[in-house]
Amino acid sequence: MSGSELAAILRPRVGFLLGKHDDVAPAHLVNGYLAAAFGVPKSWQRIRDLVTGVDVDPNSYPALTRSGYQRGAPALRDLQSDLDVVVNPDRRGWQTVAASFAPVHLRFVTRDPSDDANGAYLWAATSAELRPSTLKALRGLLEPAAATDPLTLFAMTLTDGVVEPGQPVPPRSTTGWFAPRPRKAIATLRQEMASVIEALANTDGRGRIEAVQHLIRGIYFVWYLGLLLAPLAAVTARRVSQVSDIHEFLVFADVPPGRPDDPLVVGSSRSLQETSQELHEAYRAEAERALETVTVPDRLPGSRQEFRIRVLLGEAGLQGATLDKAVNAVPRATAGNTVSSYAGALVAQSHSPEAVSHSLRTVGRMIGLAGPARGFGAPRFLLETPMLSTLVRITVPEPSIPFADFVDRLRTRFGMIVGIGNDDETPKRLSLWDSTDATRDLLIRNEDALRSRLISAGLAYQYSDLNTEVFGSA
Amino acid sequence: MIDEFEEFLHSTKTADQLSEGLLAEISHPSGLEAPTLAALAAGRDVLVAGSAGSGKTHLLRQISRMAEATGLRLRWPNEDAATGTYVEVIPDVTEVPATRRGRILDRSANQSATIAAINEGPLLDLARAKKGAFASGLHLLHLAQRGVRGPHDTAAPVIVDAGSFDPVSAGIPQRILGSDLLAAAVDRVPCGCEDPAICPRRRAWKSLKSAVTIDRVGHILELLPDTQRIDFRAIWDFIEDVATGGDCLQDPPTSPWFWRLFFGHSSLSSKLREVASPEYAAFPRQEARLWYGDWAEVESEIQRADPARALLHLDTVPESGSPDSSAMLWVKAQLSVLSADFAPIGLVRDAGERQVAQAIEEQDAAALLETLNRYMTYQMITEPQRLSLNLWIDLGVEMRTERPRGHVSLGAAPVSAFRPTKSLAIVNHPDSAVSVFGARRYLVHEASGASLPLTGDFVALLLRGRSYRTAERMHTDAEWKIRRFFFQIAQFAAAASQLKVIAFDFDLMAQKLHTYTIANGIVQVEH
Repeated sequence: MSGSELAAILRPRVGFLLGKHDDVAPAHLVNGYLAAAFGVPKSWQRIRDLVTGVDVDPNSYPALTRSGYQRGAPALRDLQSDLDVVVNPDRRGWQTVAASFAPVHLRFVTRDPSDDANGAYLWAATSAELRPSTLKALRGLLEPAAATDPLTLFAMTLTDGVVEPGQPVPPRSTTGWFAPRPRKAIATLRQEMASVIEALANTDGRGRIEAVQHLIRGIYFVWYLGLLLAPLAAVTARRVSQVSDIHEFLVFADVPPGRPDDPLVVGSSRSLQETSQELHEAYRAEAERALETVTVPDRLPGSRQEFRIRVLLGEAGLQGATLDKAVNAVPRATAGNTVSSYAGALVAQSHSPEAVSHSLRTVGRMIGLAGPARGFGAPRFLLETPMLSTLVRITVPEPSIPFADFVDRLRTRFGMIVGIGNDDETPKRLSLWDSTDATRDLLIRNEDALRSRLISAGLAYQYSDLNTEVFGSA
Repeated sequence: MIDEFEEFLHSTKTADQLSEGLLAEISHPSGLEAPTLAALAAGRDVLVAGSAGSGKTHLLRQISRMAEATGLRLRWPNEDAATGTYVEVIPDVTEVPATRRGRILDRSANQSATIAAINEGPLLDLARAKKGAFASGLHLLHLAQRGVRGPHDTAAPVIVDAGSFDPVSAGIPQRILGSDLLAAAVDRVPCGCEDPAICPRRRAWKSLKSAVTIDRVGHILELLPDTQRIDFRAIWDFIEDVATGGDCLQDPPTSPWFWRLFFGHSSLSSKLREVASPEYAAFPRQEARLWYGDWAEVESEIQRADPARALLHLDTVPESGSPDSSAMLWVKAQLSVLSADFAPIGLVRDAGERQVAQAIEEQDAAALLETLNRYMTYQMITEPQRLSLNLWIDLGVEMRTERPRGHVSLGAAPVSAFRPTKSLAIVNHPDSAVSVFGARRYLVHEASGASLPLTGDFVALLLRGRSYRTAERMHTDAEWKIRRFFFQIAQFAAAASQLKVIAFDFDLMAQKLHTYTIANGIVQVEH
């Protein structure tokens, strides 16, 4: 059984986990999310064809007709190529089947299976928590009444009259993790995820293109947060009043990717390993619970565990040959297998701690939240400068806040530890190094490095008495 | 006085703890005094901002002394009630009870203005709690610190940013090093030399009597990074260490001042060593002379050996961080020392710094725009583009091994919209002609207030050229700064109806640029 089938079984229970693809890209995910929220435009293939350089008939595109472009002419090919530069910078749009473009307008939203349904699940997780005004602001950002910058004008003009608006689709799941009234830990995480979308949808008059870029990065960030924390929220026994009660992880805050022998890099790597281990345990616990929900007949030819799997896969929507193929690929159950040991074998097949760690680096690296590139040292959490700026935009709606408050917000809202902030207890909770004193010293260093980077990037200002303020309008 | 001076040198005292006589002896005008007095004379309140050690109190005392000559009366705390008009002096706002700080600019009868020294932290607190004049003042101060002159606000105080003052470029350390008082202090340093006439320290110090030599010391000190943030106590610690530290008889000698500029125990020496370590000396046989600052002899010897001075070609900039680059810095440092004909600061930094320094001095925004345009197009557009700045961006989010294969322009801003400038040390002055600058350099877009910091590293990176490989990470931060600058300018840029698209071929290092005009639903291309 591949990761996808396990994901199909576990998603309603753990919220988010990677399945078939561990290379879900920002463009994939944001298209999946917006497709679920606002629908895929009818005849979206015409936009895909125009962007990806298919030999299109200008008569199907009013702007091309008005502008006198001829089919197959070099000028049209140049135009298509340039449109590709504009809306396909991440190279996730292709001529066949799938295409994920930058959503410079809702008309460019397409359906792409490469997101492995993660966008739709993210919509299911956040939609119930979003206020109507946020949804309106989001639509306003992505479907402006008029273009005020040349890029938007170019994209809008070329696609005018080409497609019709789509229809939103019902949430992918409304059970378990996605239920209207989930347990407190899940509700807390979902509200925080929605608050990120809310912060990025409201542009406060700032530049639209910049806002769209932050939105793409922010939506992906929210999903990554879901990957890290949603399964832990599903199984945690702690009292949860804020996201950091679910789980905390150390982020290397100095200039990425850091030297492998830097204690902070080592700590961040350990933190990623710990998180991967806990996620693996959470998947296993939920797989066990799922298997236990299946009532097995007393007289059953064959394996009881494989019967359970077949039922669960059927409930997840697999049918016929696909179902048979998936069942044939599960680990063989032995006579001594308990539900628990079988769940362990099942999860270990595709979601071992090492595999989870690998995936977290692969997807985290895409927006600068994890690294380094493959083959350059142990996976670790880190913060690239563009991601840092998006986090400032998300967490600082005020004109400015003290730096320590920013550090606190990253921790309480997302579980990200970048320093001590105002919470002197933080070093006691981390067990990544030998002693609390060493942890304290290293966290102070990490915090100072982050402060310097924020100042250098123009996102913060250090007053002459060393008081640092992070700018919300940055 | 010499006793008090010696005690001051070896202590951690600040200027406000000195006698009037010594203070007058070691004080040097900063250029901030006269405009501050003029503002007070015009009845404007003045806040002197800056951290401890940035010279706020010293500045207040200087102004107070100068005020007497102008007939302006400054009343310090605990002074008798004045007859006639006076200016109230608050030497440290943090000593005012928190409940009364919000009223420090309130005036009593006969009071014409207030001058108060305040750290930026308490100023921020006041701005938050009281808003009004404090908030506007703080806002104007922040603009000034990135080179932007905000609109004049008569309701807000004049802000003097003592923290923005650059003591090195103002020549303060050089003047102190060359002073008679310090020479007298050097003469009293105990040493084991048999005869003061052959004492290396005393002999070396005599060379500091030369104005040319002192000037060259200034050029070496300009090697220090971020000189604006050096406070006065750090300068005095440096002076004390250079003048009296070390042992004359050590081998190599640690006390001759030139060597000690780099190898002293002060924080400034440590920073200087980082950017120009004498370990990379290009002329080893001259080192002994250099230690003693015996430049005249070294200079003539170099010239004798190479009359055309073609010995060293420094036009090619070595890779940053390579041993060659460090060596080159020191070679340049020595050249600045060795040859009076070179403009030292231009040589000491790399070629980029020289160009930018020149562009700023000459108010040549076009040169900076050309550099930015070239960088953003990966040096693929070779013809100079000096008349406008293309606001190139891309919508890429994903961090891949190569940067996106094209850009779109959010518009273009004409060269006339830009001003190369420095941070401003006096803000909101009633006389708009008053301009006192700090040390930091910026390219400012006037209409939007967008400001691009032109640090040495950043400019060197721009000139070295952009890489399409994301593994060269230093470009990530540089691009981030530029992109932010562009987004701020974009809404003020020309015509939203024109779009430029540039596509790059990184294999061939070639580009294809198209300009589209979009109007009435028609998209026309200009090749």
